[in-house]
Amino acid sequence: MASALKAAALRHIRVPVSPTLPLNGSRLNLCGTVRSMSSHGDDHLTKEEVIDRVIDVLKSFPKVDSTKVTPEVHFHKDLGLDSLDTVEIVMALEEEFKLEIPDKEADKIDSCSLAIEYIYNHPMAG
Amino acid sequence: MSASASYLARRAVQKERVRILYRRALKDTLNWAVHRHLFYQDASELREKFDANKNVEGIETIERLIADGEAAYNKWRHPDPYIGKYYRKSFISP
Repeated sequence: MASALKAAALRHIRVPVSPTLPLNGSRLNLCGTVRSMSSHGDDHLTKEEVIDRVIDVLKSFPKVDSTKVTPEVHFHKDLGLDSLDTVEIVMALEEEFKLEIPDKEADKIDSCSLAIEYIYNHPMAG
Repeated sequence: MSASASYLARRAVQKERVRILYRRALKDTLNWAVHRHLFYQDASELREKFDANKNVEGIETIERLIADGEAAYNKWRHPDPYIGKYYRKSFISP
């Protein structure tokens, strides 16, 4: 009984979407809506933008010598930061890119390149 | 040799617990102190507490300190977390 209802409901929902769908006499343009729901395309950050902003966060950390910052630096080996400094930097990156990184994943980020990769690959980075 | 390996493994686990505890406590500090200057002060004190124990030796002592820290964190956790942007600003203008 429930599955029959479900099938009926699904048949009802399966309405072809055309660019101009008349609705109560007015034309509702769904093209824009469909495009903005796409998970690919121009709304994701470019790699260059991610790199620039990650570098910027690093350089603004008081304990960091900004002349040493490159996209390849390791927080401990190259910048001499300790594990708690790294925790602070990752938190600052979460704020910068509006992300909530799970603790165990955040704990693995110990270099600029790892941070860049993680953020660039995150669909919610903003 | 196996005793030393298990010692190192235990220490590695402890270091991870410390990092994650610091991270959670710091985020919680953000929740409690919405105004930037308050956060900066609390964050500074939190860091000092951790730094004070930086060179403690003795695996059981370290274990106890971590357990105490985790208990303190659980006791003072903010009931209503705030998602804000104060942390990065505190880097630049203390």
